[in-house]
Amino acid sequence: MRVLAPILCIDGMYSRYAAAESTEPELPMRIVISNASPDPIYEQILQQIRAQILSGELSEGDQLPSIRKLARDLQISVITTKRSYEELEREGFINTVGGKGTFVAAQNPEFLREKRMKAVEERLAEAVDQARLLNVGSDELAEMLRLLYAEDE
Amino acid sequence: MNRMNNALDIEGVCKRYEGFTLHDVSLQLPRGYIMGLIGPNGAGKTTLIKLMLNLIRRDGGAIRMFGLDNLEDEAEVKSRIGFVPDEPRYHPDASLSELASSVAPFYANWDDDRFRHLAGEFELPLKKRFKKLSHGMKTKFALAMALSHGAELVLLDEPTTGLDPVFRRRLLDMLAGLLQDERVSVLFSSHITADLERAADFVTFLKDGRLVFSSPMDQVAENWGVVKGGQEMLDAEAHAFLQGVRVRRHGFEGLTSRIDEARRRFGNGFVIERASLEDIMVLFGKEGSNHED
Amino acid sequence: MRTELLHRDMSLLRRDMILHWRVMVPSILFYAAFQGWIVREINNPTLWLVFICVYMTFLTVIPINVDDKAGTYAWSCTLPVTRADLVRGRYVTAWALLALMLTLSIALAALMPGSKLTAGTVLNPDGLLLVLGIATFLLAPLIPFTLKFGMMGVMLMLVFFQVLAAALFVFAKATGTRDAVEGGVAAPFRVIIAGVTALHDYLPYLVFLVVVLAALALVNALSYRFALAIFRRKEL
Repeated sequence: MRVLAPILCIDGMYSRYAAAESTEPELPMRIVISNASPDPIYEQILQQIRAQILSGELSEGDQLPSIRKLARDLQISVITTKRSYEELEREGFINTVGGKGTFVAAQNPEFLREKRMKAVEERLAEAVDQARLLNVGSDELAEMLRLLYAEDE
Repeated sequence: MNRMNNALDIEGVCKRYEGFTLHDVSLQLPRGYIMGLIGPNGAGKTTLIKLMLNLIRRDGGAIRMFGLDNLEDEAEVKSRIGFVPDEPRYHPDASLSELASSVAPFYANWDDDRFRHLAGEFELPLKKRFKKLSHGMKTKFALAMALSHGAELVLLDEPTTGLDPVFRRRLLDMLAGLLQDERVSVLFSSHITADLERAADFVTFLKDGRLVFSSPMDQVAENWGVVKGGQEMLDAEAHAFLQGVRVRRHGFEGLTSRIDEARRRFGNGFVIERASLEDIMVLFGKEGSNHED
Repeated sequence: MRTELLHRDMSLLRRDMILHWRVMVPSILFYAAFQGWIVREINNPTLWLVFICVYMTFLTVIPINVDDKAGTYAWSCTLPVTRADLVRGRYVTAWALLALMLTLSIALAALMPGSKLTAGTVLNPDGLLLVLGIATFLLAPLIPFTLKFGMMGVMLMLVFFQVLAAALFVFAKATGTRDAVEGGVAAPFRVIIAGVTALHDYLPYLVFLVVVLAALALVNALSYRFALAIFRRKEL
């Protein structure tokens, strides 16, 4: 099992935060908080942990720092950190085991794919709405999508 | 919310002075969190903290700490409080180690090793007399005293005023360190709001002796905004909507506690941003009519 | 509960000693030298006891004065004690100082070569009662007064009495009523002394002792109540 410690980073300046009181070996968990970002801090934490779980950087059973420890290390409030963890828990990315800590949850690959497909669908639905407002037909939109795909390749 | 779980529960507290009144202030701080107390000088921050400690007599309302009445269980309540005053005053001719030793027996949980450790870290000259210290050193000494008896509620009244930015950061880190114990809470008054912006879980804003709000910092950050635009765009309707306006030669800045509605209401040409605590403190209640530069 | 109060009293006494030893120790040494000299010169035990009590009173107002001048009342009030504890602490310190002075003085009286007084002068029921009486007479008004008006108030009071005495003297001299004025000033004291003497002469000694001790306890209790009422109103 891996125990994760955050790397402190504020507005682009990195410094490895050594957690003196911990005895277990810790692996870095990169969280970058920007005061300039339009996203609230809890959202920034949420997105970054979620992305690291989805990308496989964090894997099942990895232990996350406690809410209070992460708050201290990132120099942010406890409530903010708590909110990120609660949201991650609701989304099924992490589990809190009472008295033991918070762990990355088992990720069912199909479930994960489904979840990500749903995100794609939502974005597309948004694009369709916008297209309708501009009287763009489905053919024209499909053509646009095809071009976008071609651009990336 | 279970009231026993509140480190601090203030209900309708009033204090009348000649020329200043603290009106009907209520707030709650749950155990395990940091609350920032902000407001311009003379807003009533120190008065509120003094009322908690029964340094002054209240004219109404009730204050409970850890579920105990602050007057009925005065000694018990105070044994669980660590207090850092804005202007620490101890016996001027006593040395720092004498001062520390003089209070130790009052606290069942006095931890002399911890005091020595903090004194070492803050580079406090323990043999020196109190009156020989600089203002910053006096505050550091008060801090070492407040953190050496296992206090469950740490009250800090403008502690950062005489401290350099490096130590201010260290102080915030120390407070976050205290919060690793979930029973410990902190109330921190400051007009240097940047200190509180990220560290505080709750923010209480006082102005002219009145409570403007006491709510989670996240909510403050999400709901309060600043609307900016040209002077000519500030019509009566906008004026009525905004909770404080500052007009300058090149445009106006207005404060709102409903940023989403402001986005709907004010369209092209307006700039709408999230408000910092400083924006709120400076703009709130400001009348736009008097021009200033 | 009772042991808790005693613990606070002792902690407050200890705190007074730690915070004020820099003034107390030299004062007590000076006092010892003074007493060493005076036991060779004086043969009036009453006067000797008055000296002890006045000196003790002087030391008692030092901590109150510092609290007042340096603004350290607020710190005292943030300690885990009540205002009642703090006021009681003033009396505890005063009586502890009296005990210390008395011990020191008696030792000096006994040991000093050429001393005209002996330990027995004070170490008898009447002598101790006299000490308690004089100390109460001085402390009972002084502690509430100092809490209310500070050291400045004490100074002003002393000046006021000086001026009053001078005025009375001038008045008596001008009108040729010196005897009447003197009699008037001394009258209350004479009445008290006569009363106590009468009690002493006509009551069985044990009853006399109980009555006087009860009266002194009552005066101290009233003084404490009064001081507490004053200190509770104090805004820090």
